[in-house]
Amino acid sequence: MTLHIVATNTPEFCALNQSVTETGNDDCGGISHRVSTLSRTAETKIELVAGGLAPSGASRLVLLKASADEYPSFDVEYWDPAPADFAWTPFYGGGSIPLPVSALLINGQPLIATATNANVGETLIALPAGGTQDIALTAYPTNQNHYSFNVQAQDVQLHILANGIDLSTNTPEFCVGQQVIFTAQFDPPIDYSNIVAHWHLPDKYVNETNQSFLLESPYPTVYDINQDLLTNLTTSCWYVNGTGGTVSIGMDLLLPDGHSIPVAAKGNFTVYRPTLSNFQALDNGFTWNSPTLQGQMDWSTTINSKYDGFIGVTQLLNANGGVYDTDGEDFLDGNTEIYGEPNETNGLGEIYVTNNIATHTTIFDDNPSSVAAPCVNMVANFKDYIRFKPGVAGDTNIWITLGTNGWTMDGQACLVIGTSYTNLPPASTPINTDEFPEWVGVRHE
Amino acid sequence: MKTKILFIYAIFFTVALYGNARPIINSVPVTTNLIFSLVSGKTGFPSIQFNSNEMIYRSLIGTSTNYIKYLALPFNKTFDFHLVDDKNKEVPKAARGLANSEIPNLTNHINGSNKFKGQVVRRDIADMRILFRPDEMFVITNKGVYELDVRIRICVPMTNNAPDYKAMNLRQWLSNTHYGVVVSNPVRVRIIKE
Repeated sequence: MTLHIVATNTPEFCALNQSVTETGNDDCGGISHRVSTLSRTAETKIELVAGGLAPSGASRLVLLKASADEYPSFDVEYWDPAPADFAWTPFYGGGSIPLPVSALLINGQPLIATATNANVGETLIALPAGGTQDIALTAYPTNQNHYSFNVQAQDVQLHILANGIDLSTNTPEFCVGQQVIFTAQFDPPIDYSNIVAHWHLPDKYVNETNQSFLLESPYPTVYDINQDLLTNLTTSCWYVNGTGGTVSIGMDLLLPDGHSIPVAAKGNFTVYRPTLSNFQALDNGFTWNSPTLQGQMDWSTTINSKYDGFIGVTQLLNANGGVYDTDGEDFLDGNTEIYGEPNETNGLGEIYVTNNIATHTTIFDDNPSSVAAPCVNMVANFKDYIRFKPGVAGDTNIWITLGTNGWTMDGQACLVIGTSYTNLPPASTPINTDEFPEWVGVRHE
Repeated sequence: MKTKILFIYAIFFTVALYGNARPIINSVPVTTNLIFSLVSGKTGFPSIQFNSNEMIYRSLIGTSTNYIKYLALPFNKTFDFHLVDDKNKEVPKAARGLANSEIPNLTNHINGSNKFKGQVVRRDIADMRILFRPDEMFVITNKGVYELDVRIRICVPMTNNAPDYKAMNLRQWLSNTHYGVVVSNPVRVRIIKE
């Protein structure tokens, strides 16, 4: 629903009383001289009508700008002809002496001077959509009680911007892993003392990163949702799953004059999540080349993404006993979070370019091996996180898991007798998950 | 679609401009079954010209439908790269450029190849990764057109001091015992400093 004020130039309606009192009628040199005193009182109010559907419960934020101008004494205490008798009474024009903002009240609230004119004050009010409200205007002039009001009402829109895109007019799409920055913005800008805001974002996202402390790097990054980060005018997050939906913000706006106003806004966006397809178990097994027992695991999968980015696999291993023993804990396998990445300084894996299909498939290769002295036992469970990071090098996007698969090895060999048993079946087909990998130790190469 | 992509690659691989004394060429063989290219991140395909602040990607792709496996050296030992200006004067490397210019042991009999990670490609599956931005690796002080030479080093199975192409596949890999480093010819592209 689009809300707007249907009457920005609000009609003044006054409980107006006006009378003329004759205070003299004498002959002055043959000329009849009469003194008339005009009395005019007005309870000044404006009627503000807010657009929108009345039952919606939505509020309209209205910026009122007001000024008052006092009439000069000459205009008030004048000679004939009396304004009650003639149309050109000076009261038909506005006053000509600006009153300071401090002399004005709207609904009993003082006004804040605008930046451009110290004699024009402004304040915010909230109106129920579709409602009508009388706005009481009061001035405390310094000379006498005759002044004119000028009041303008302007609809204040609260817009939500997502990465700079206005959600009141757009429904943008964001890729999982892409940092999305939501900003609440008032149009026109307004002055406020403080804001207590709360964002509501559709599932599924994270908005905080923490680095786990381990004795050796690379350290796993732990992602979670920090509610405290959802209370500012700007908040950011990374989507990991879902289709998007409605983002909203509700806030209590504390104004400089001390009163607070509830305000809300919402908008829609969609989330895109790449998929995996065409998984193939390419090769698997053990080979015994005395004194080395070596395993082999190769699989491939295709990533389907509308967005450019990077592909990588994070491999965790978990073993009880044998040369890969991790005491049953998950360890990162390798020197980098992205397995097999030769560039340890950026660790960005393989590039994914949408218009080059040769970059869409990744092949995972691992050759665990160990030397028998005199025997070797290679037993471990491996879990592979197939991951995608949209964007370019150096941006603030994060790696997202598209799926996980697993494989196991269990082989034993001795120098004297050769292999006792070798079991290294093909890797399992990936399952769709957004789980982040976490580890408590690192098994370096 | 794959046919179309391969056709485009075939065009790019043959780009070689001989207008100058030094040919500009964006794709060269590393071995007879592997092609090394410098790739634009904007197009995802080999290019002959980059801006000095542009991220350049490198690509290795096979020449057949067979899976081709090789071992990647650490990044700081993988590339031999040089930049020259229009007077053929070499541009000095920045600290990062020097740090990534280590020379590996070029012996043809590297045991313990499991220290290096295997990479697998095919004619339709590339291994494309970040190379660098020239501005990060060189001290380029003047605007102009430069030429960047890059060679790639990889580790492959060797027989009689020569790459064993038959051994560069998944099935044969575990029987390999000897490995060596091979170095490609240089790709040569233009770098524009604005």
